[in-house]
Order: sequence, then C-alpha cells, then structure tokens
Amino acid sequence: MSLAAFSLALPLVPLAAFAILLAAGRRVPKAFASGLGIAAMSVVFAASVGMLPAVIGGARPEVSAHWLRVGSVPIDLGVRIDPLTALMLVVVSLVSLLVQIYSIGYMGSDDRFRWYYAAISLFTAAMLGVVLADGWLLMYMCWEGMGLASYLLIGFWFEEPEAARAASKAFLVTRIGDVGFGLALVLMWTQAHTFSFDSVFHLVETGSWAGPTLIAAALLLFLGAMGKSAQFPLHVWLPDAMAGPTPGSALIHAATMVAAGVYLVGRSFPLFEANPQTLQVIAAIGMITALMAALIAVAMDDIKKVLAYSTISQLGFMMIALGTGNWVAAIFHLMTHAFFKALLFLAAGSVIHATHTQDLHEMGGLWKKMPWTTTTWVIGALSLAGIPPLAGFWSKDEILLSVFKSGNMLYLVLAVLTAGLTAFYMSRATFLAFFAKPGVHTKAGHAHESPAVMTGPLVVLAVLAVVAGFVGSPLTNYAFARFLGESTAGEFALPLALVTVTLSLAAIGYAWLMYIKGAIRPDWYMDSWFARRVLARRFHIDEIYEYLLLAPVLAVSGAFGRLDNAVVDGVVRATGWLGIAVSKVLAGFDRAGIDGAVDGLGEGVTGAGHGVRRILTGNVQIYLMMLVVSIVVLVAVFAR
Amino acid sequence: MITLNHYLVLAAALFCIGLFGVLTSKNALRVVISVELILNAVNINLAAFSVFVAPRQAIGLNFVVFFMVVAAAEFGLALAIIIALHRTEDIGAIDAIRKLKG
Amino acid sequence: MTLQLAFFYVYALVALAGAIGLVTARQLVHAVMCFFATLLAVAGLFLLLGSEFLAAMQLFVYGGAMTVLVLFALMFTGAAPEGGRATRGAVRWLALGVTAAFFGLLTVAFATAGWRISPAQPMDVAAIATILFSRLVVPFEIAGLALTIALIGTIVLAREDDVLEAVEPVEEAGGEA
Repeated sequence: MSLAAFSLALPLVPLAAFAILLAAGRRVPKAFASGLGIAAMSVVFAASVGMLPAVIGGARPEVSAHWLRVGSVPIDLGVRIDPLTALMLVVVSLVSLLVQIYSIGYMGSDDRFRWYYAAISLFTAAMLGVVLADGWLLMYMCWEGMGLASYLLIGFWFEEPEAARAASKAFLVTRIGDVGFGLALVLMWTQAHTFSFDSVFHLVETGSWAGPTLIAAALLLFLGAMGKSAQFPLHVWLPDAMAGPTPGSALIHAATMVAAGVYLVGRSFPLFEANPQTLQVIAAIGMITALMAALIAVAMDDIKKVLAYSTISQLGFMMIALGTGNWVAAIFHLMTHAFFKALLFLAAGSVIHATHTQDLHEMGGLWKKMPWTTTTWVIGALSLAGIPPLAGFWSKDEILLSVFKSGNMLYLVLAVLTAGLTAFYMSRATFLAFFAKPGVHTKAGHAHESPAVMTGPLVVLAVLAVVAGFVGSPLTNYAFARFLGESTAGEFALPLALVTVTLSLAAIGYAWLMYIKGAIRPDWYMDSWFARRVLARRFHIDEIYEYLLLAPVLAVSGAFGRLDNAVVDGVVRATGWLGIAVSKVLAGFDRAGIDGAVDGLGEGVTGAGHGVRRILTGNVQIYLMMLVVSIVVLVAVFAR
Repeated sequence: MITLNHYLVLAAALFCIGLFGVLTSKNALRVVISVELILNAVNINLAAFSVFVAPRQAIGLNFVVFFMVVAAAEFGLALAIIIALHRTEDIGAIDAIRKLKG
Repeated sequence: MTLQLAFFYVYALVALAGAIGLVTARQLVHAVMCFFATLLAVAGLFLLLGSEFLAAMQLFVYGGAMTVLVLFALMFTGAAPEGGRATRGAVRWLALGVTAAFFGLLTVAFATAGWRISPAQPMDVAAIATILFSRLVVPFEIAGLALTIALIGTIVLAREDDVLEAVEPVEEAGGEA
C-alpha cells in the first residue's frame, strides 16, 4: 500500500471504531469497546512511528481528491504528510493510546464505558484529520468534529447540571473562535480561490495575496486558534471543562485539542510571517494569557483547576513563541507539554480515583500510599517547572530564548516571572497533595495505589517527560528543528537558562518552606485583597461575560419567549378557540337549521298527513260528497 | 211541444235530488232508495234520448230494459245486505259503520 | 200549451214532489210512499215518450216489486223513526250546494249542446222485441243469468248465519274429495 493511501486511512481507523461502537451500543461487552479503541489506536501509532523514517528520508506522501466545483473553480480535499504532520501523528496517537489504556481502570465501573471509548475514538479521528489535512477547508471540518467530541466528553456525565453547562459553555466559546476560522475561509476563498496550503503559501510568497485581506485572514485564523487553545479572553471554558472524566481531559484539554490552535498557527505560519504585526498580536495575547493563568493557578485549591490554568498558561507560552517568530519552539513545547501535562492529569486522576476528592487541602501524605503515582507526578511537575534535564526545561528554554531574541524585555521579564510562578504553583500542589502532613479534613486515609493498567501509562509518559526534550537540545544538535525543516532555530543560551532554573528552584524551595516545613505561613498571600478578590475569583472574567453578554442575551431570548407565548401562542389558541366556536355555531346551525329543516319537513309531512287523514272518516257518504265536488269542479273548470 | 230538454232537465233534477239523498241520508235504507231514484232518472234520460235522437234503432229502449233488470237485481242484493248487516249492527246509524276509516 | 205538455208538467211535478219527499220525510214509510209516487210519475213519462212497454215494466218492477220489497225490508229492520236526516247540518248544506251546482252544470250542458233531433216515429213493443231477440239476444240471456245469480246471492246473504255454517262442512268435504 502506498504511503499516501496509508496516510489517508489513518484517521479512518478510529472513525471506524467509533462507528462500530456507536452501532453496537450495549450489546458488546465492555472489554470489546476498550479493546477496539486500543487496537485502533495501536494501529495508528504503529503506522505513525513506522512512517517516520520515510518522512525523515524526505518522503512527502499526499493524496487529493476532487470534491466539488464552484463555478469554474474546483475544490479538492486531501491529506498530506510532512514532518510537522508526522510528528503530530505520533504525539496524538501515543497520548490517545495511553489514555485509553489508563481508562480501562479509571472508567471501568462507569455504565457508559462503551460510549466513552466511542467518543475518544471519534475525537482522535478528528484530531488526526486536522493534522493530516492538506488545506484549511478539510482542517476546518475536522476542527468542528473535534469540537463535537469535546462537547460529548465534557458533558459525559450529563446528568450533572454542572457538566452539561460546562459542555455548552465550551462549545459556545470555541464557537466564537470557529466563526473567526470560518470568516478566514471566506476571505481565503474570495481572495485566493483555493484552500490548499501549498497554493496559498505560494500566493503569499509571491505577493499575489497581500494587504489588509491577508492580515484579516491571518488574524481570523488566530481567533480560531484562540478559541480552541483557550487564550485570553476565550479561555473561560477550559477550567469548567474539568467537569468531564479526567482521562478525557488529559487527552483533549491538556495534550491534543488545545494544542490544535497552536498547530493551526504553526501550519499557517507563512501567512503570519508576511505581516509581522499579526505576530505581535499573537505574542501579546499569549503573554497576557500565560501570566494571568499562572497567577490564578496560585490561588486554586482544586487539583484539576490548577492543572487547567497551568495548561492555559503553557498554551500562552506556545503563543508567545509563535509571536516571536519561532514556530519550531512552539511545536517543541507543544510536544513536551503534551507528554507531561497528560501525565499530570492522569496522575491527578489516579489520586482522585483513590481519595475521591479533588481538593488539595483534603489530601496529604499520599506518597506513602501511592508511590508510583507520586513518582510520576513529581517527574511531570518538575518537567513542567522547567528543571533540567527534563523535557520541559529544553522546550521552555527555547521559548524564553526566542523572546529574548525578539528584543522585548518586558515580555522576557514577564515570561521569566511566569515560569517562576509555574514552578511555585506546581510545587504547592505537589506538596499539598503528596508530601504534606494530612490535615484535619483529609480523605487520604484509605487511599491506595491504582492498578497497573493506570500506573503503566503514567510510567510511559514519565519516561517521555524525561527524554522527549533531548531531541530539541544541543545534545542531539537540535534534531527536532532539523526534522521540522528549520535549521536555524537551534540555540542554547546558558545565562538565560541559569536564571530561569535558579528562579524555578527558588520557587520550589519557597513552596517547600511553606508547605512542608511550615516556616512560612502557608497561603499567606491569600490574605491580601488581590489574592482573594482577583485571583481566587479568576479575575472575574466569567462574571464580566455573564454581565455583558449572557444577561442581555438571556433577557432578549426571555422576552422573545414571552412574546412567543403571549402573541404567537395566543394567536394559535385564539385560532383554535375560533375554530371551536365556528364549529359549535355550525353544529348548532346544523342541528337547528338543517336538522330542523329535515325534521320539520318530516313533521310537516306527517302533520299534513294527519290533517289529510281526518278526511278519511270512514263515512262513505262523505267520500261520495268529495267525489261529486271533485266532478263539479273539474267539469266546471275544464269543460269549456 | 215537449222538447228533449224538458226530459233532460227533469232527469237531471231527479238525479240531483237522489244524489242529495245518497249524500245526506243517515238511514241505509233511504240511501238505497235514493240510489234507485238516481237509476230512475237515468232511465228517463236514456228513454228520452232514444226517442228523440235515434228512434228508428230503438236501442235505447232496450237499454232501458236491461237497466231496469240490473237495477232490480242490485236492489234486491242491497236489501239482502242491509238485512244481513242489521243482524250484527244497528243499521239505523249508517255513519257508525266506519270500516273504511283511514 | 198542448195537452201533452200539460200532462208532462203534471207528471214532472209529481215526480219532483215525490223525490223531495223521499229525501226529506222523517218517517221512512212516508219516504217510501213518496218514492212510490215518483215511480208512478215516471211510468207516466214513459207513456208520454210513446213506450207503453217501458211504462208497464216500470209499474211492474219498480212500482210493484221494489216498493213491496222495500216495505218488507223496512219491516225487518225497523228503521229508527228519527233516523231520516243527515245529522250534521253543515254537511247537509254543503251537499245541497254541491248538488245544486251539479244541476246547474248539467243544465248548462244541455242548453249549450246541439242535439240532432230526428223526426219522431211510433215506438211500440214490436220495435223493442225485434231488436231484443235478434241483436241483443245474448245480452238478454246474460241478463237472465245475472238475475238468477242475484236471486241466489240475495237468498244466501239474507239467510241466518248458522244455516251458512251448515253449508261449509259440505264444501270442506267436497274440497278433501
């Protein structure tokens, strides 16, 4: 089978798994569902890895098919594999596979186990489609498919009103971004008359497409990325999305879907590069997002919320990298983040599964009871905090270097500060959950380690969180960058690295003093007005949305609803009443008039008959009289 | 000079008087006799016509003979019926016989 | 006024008077007597018409047999004395009106009709007998038969019922045989 056809089949495998599980429903055993999903994903993973050598060797398989024709312009859809796509295939399929293995244990007791695997398969198929697409149109279609799968997974336990609301919120907020993406497609069509990457890049490079429309298209694409990648101000859906099953969150809201925005910008990079001001916008948004989310994470007590804001912050970092022109660094961080964030989420799931709580203050001392979980979590946290030689260090360092090279000192300071905050809040969470002495309200008493099916993936991800960074480090001579086709992005600035690592270690130490040693009063900063009112309330952004957007919309729709009830339903009811009244009148008319006429006719005839009958007296003489009278009359009248 | 019209008018008058008797008599016997009066009037009529209009054929007179025969037979039968009815009901009240009442 | 005309008027008057008496007399016997007068007058009219045979027949059949028969029937049934008038006055006046109208019609009809009057010829018994026994012999025989039937019928009708019932078993036996 040719590589091109093979690549086309990749997303179809999990899609087929989804279709089969959807059709089979509850008729198959649970093991069938998980087995099918895992088998599908194993196939995809194996194929993705197997494809790597060929891609490294220069193979660029692509296959395209004609879909429809608008006027004289054809629209084709197709897939293609280049290094970026190949990398994404490996990352996505691996994380999806590990999550599905883990879910056997985590979701094992859930009734809708099979549906869970169906949704996971559907999502993976969509994500694979996004990275395989050779044009923005197909990417958009799969983009929407991802949105659907995300909705299904956030609202998995839809009987919880919180989950249902969170799912709708996620869908609506990302929809705003998707509108941007759609408008970009419109612009693309009117200006370039094509959706394929190569064709559009060609137009941009030759300057055929330039100017305000290109800037607008680029920014609109970024709007789409903002939605899916939870950038400020469209980040509000991600923390609420934690209402869904943790492994699902691990896959979608940590590792892959939220990274799709970064992938989109990365893939569309020539459009942004052509207009540097767009890159400034991206960088600014990324910076705001990263800093704001890190600040909020400090004030969170729910372990999953900490991770959610951490994800938002790290996505902001990726956007900063893109904004400073270094898309390779962004993708590098995307990869490492996928591994250690998925690890952290799954480990958190393990903790939640064991202690049945998500509140950090109800945990403590878990390292004794859950060694595997603790160890893997710590590795993930250190990687996230950017401690060398773990993966996160290399990728974050690349980003900071990129900021430094862009010359924006403010951003550099803020970024470094954010990195420090990252280290702090992760240490805080780590200490509180695993190492601190259990508090009064602890639920950690009966905790026990999770089964191997859950700790296995943790270990795999932990290993990746350690070694994955090396491919982008000087140790491999920046193989990552070369793999992606950019040979100039590899650099290592020791001073910058030293500064950031020191800051991170200091932050970890501070947290240690606070939560383990108790030398500094824990959460002392929470007493400040800023921490309590702003951070803990997440900058009131949700409230602002509620006030500015939701309230008016709900008021208007409520008004329309009442209008509909009063007027439209009123008209309908009035019509119904009128119909009934008319029919009653007609019925009365029918009874009185028609029946009356008919009966009256009958009675009239009967009465007349009765009347006439009185003539028949039985008296023959009277009969004779009548006879004579008749004769007289007849003769008198007719005998002329 | 006795003209045909004399006889005809007389016959008509007798006929009408007999008709009156048939229509108004309460007694059945009187009714039967009134019928005979009518038949007599008819006889006069026939005879008059026969004599004035077609005297040569004398058919009319023969007709009168037959008529008288039939009238006599009918008369006898009618009286027999009356006598028979008299046994079961009071024939004096003719309008009490209302068997034809519809 | 010829003698014939005078006689005509006499006879006519008697006939009419008798007729009126028939319908108006309270007592049935009086009515019958009046009828008898009428019958005699009619016989006279027949004479005036030139047919002695008819006059004689009238006297024999009507005057003799019929009147006697009626008187016999009267004696059998014993008609109620007061039964002689129509009980309902209104109907009586209506009947009067109707008959008057009828009479009016008839007279008008006679007046406007044009009879072809043929010259008179002597009517005698030979003239009647000739036709009776040549052309009309079959009706003559049938008339005789009719009279016989009427005679039998009269006897049967006027009999007592138990006599009729005695006849029936014979008819039934005849039916079974």
